[in-house]
Amino acid sequence: MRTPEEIERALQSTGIQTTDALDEMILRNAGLALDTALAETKGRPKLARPWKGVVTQRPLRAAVATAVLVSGVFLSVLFVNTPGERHVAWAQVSERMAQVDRLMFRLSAQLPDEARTGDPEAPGALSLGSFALVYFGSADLGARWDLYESGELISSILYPLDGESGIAINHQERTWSRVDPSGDAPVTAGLFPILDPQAWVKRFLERDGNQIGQSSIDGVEVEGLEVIDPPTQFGPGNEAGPRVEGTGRLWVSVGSGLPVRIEIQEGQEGEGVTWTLDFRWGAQVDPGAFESTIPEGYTLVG
Amino acid sequence: MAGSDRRLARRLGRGDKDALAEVYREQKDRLLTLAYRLLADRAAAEDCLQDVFLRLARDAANLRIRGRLGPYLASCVLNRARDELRKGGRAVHVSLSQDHEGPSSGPDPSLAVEELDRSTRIQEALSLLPSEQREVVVLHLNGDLTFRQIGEMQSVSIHTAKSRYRYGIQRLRGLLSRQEEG
Repeated sequence: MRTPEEIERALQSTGIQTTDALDEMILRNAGLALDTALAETKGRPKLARPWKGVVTQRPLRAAVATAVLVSGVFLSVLFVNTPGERHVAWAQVSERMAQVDRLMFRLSAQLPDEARTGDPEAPGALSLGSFALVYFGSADLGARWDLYESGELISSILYPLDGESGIAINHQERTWSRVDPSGDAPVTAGLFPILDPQAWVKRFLERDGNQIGQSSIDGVEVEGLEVIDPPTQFGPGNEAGPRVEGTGRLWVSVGSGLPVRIEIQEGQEGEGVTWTLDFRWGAQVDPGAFESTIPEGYTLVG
Repeated sequence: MAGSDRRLARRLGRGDKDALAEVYREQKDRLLTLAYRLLADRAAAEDCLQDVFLRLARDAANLRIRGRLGPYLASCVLNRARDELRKGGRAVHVSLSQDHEGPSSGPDPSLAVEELDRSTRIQEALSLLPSEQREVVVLHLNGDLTFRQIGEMQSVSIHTAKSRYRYGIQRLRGLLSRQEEG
């Protein structure tokens, strides 16, 4: 094996296979587990409400605001270990969470067809079928947001703590602008409360939630909390904004006590926007990601 | 593909055992190989595979996948393997003298022996990689995960994941060349 391609082929073509006995054992045991799980979940009501598109006009702002919401929610989550089964305690405040000074999360949204008909020329609007927003936050380095559509990087906002202002980069138009956290530019308006997400925590937990037991996300054991009126996505201080009807679920790792995922289904499945936010706490962050470096050839605007 | 996987997931959520068997048949060898590459231990890899499917069945009603089932299950294998490695406090290492159950025997015994030898040498070389490089290499080649997905799982950028892959392959190349020369 002399070339990288040969090594790749060798890795892909060699492997091990299950035995019939192993197949039989796993399918039998997994089948029993499936029966047991189904019996346990029967009778638990599905919570969902009809909802008309709240975020169809400004999905980017909504995405950002929802991201703020989610990170805020988790500041009041603390886990405890009991001698028996481990559970998450939901009423504790942020003391433990504050010890984690680095956070990365990915927000992705699936919009129904209805949402795509929004005016793409409206301020702050992006008429996308689906998109993802990735946030890197670091107590010592700053914050960065990257917006992707279909895997393509559309725009980035960097806000280093050691600078007086951040920068916003539009990769499609190859332009950039300065970002003032006190300003009210459409793209940035909803961003900066994420640096103080306590208000979001409070708002989420003010709702009557149901504990929905334990589950697993990507192999991580989690415990969930469900509300039928997840907080609106328009940020702290905007209580006048419309309330979302639907289902919001917060999943927290039983092992680490840190949030793993939040899911918000607005309205019925397939009708409203579906938000998924995945969290990585204490993530390794490349300090270079927070440097305000303007890509070559980009033009300053604004 | 993602749509059919979501339908499979919904069937699983309704307790459909045919769906469970379908997922298992499609994924079992790939996931077992992935677990074996990560753990370098056949028995541990089989335990890992069983654990992943038990968990999949137990959580079927609340299963949430954003894309295809394959990468989702591969990520479950990775998390389970990481737990196992942490729990055991052991480093992945395999030796040529270790009992090894490589690929199943084919019709030609000499070819099977050759394949077994190649598989063993690959596994030995993999065990010498830094864990983050080993993860990227096997998740990409045996788990069908994209570099973006791997980057998310390792909490690094896609560029870092690609770099780790490149370094991993380069290092494997050097290790395997030395094996051949030796």
